[in-house]
Amino acid sequence: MAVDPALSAFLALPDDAVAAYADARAEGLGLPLPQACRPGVIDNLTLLRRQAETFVAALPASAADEIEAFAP
Amino acid sequence: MSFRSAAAIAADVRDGATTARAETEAALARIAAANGALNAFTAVFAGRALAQADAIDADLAAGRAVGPLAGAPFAVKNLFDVAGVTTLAGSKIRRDASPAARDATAIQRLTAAGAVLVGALNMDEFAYGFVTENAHDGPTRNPHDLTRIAGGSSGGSAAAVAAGLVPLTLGSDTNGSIRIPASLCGVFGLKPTLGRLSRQGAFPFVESLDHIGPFARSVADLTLAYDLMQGPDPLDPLCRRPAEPAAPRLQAIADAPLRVGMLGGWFAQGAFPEVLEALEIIADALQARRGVELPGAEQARAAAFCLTAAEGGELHLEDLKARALDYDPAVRDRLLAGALLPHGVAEAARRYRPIFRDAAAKVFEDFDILLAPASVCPAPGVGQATMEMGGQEVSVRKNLGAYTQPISYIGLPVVTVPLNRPGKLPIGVQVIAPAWREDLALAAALRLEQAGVVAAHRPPERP
Repeated sequence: MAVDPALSAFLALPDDAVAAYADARAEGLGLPLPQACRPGVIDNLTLLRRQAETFVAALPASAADEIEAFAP
Repeated sequence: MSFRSAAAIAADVRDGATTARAETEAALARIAAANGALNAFTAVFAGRALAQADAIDADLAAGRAVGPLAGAPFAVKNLFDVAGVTTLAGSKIRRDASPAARDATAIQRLTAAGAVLVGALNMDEFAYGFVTENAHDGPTRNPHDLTRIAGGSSGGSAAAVAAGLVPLTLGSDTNGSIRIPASLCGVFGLKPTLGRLSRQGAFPFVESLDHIGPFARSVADLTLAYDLMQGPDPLDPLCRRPAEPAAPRLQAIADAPLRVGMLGGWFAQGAFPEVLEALEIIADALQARRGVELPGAEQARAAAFCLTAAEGGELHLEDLKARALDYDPAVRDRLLAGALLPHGVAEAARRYRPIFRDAAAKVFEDFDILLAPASVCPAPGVGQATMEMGGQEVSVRKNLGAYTQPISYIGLPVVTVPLNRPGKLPIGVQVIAPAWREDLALAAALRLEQAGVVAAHRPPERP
């Protein structure tokens, strides 16, 4: 599966660039990030980026373009 | 407190040994006496409950048939719609929402069977957490040790059953929210196959992963409630399967050979020694083969973690824009982070699902049941932010479900069984079955219960 450019860019972020990503993405979404939330949000986003790396790397390159309607 | 089963209460009501009103009044009195210490209930529906109880007693007096749970009290996590009541889902921002027009499907089905709804139960805000330390409603305390958490997000549901306030409750499980509190509070919990029970009227968290299910003090009550809630629901597109009652065949399955494996790899890393000891005891009792690998579990956990944040963040985006500071801070920051993820993260997490499902199906070719720890540790303390896992200091809130998340990610049915260790903090184990084979997990739980290996033991008496 070809990883989309936005996802690739996110996965490639170093930890110290996550804050800048968060601010830019929040602005793009029109989502205010109150100052009280910002450190916690950045911590969580950093953790999510690392977790995303874990499973995106395990996706086969040959994965179909269509996502299966999941059934257990 | 009362530790009678729901089935026994209903039998006594039907036989005239007691009345539905007497049982309901007793449950309301227990809640009034104990909830100050436990904080399991966030609302009590005395008027509704007594009216329903009187109707059951009137039916019996008139010789009309009543249901298999007639007069048995139950309660639900406060994300279930209850007619005339605002569905809070543990939040502040929904406190001014309109009351629900009707009961959730699961409540309708239990009340149709005669169960009497007595109240709503505490939870992590919007079900995002494993601790039930709710910033708005306070923490639910573990009946076995009031200084410890009940687990979450269905903490009130587990604590109410463990404390003997009611014999039966409902919760929801997106990543472990039935299995973790069942483990920490020492009761039985069932997370059925994704799509087995209707989610209609349960406030959503992560559409791809949300399940509902019961808590009880015995396998019989758990199975009875599960069977009564089964069947297709046109209001939940995922819930289409005809009912397949488990109770009639449970004993036969429990008495027959079961091929049981104990998961290693991801599921053997980081757990506290007493958790691994509990797992060994249950594995011995079921003659499980050790060290079974479920390839991709770590990646599945990571994908569930990200899918949860992404879908949760998307669901709450408009409220986060308008009222972020009205959220529980511990939940808010996670939802905000999820909202900021690029869309490709959720898409990739959905792509990994069938890969991991197929890996699990391959393992189940050789096994009927797989065993894994439910929680990383026994109940942590109230207010405890971190714990040690695999030699690292990690967040309690984010990591208690490390072993439950891979399983709910692919929607497999799981019964959490409480190891019978009276006088000690409870520890539960996940009994995992292939998709749509809840009967296998329930039968294994029944075998363990009949052998005395698992039991919902009573919490200590308090003055």
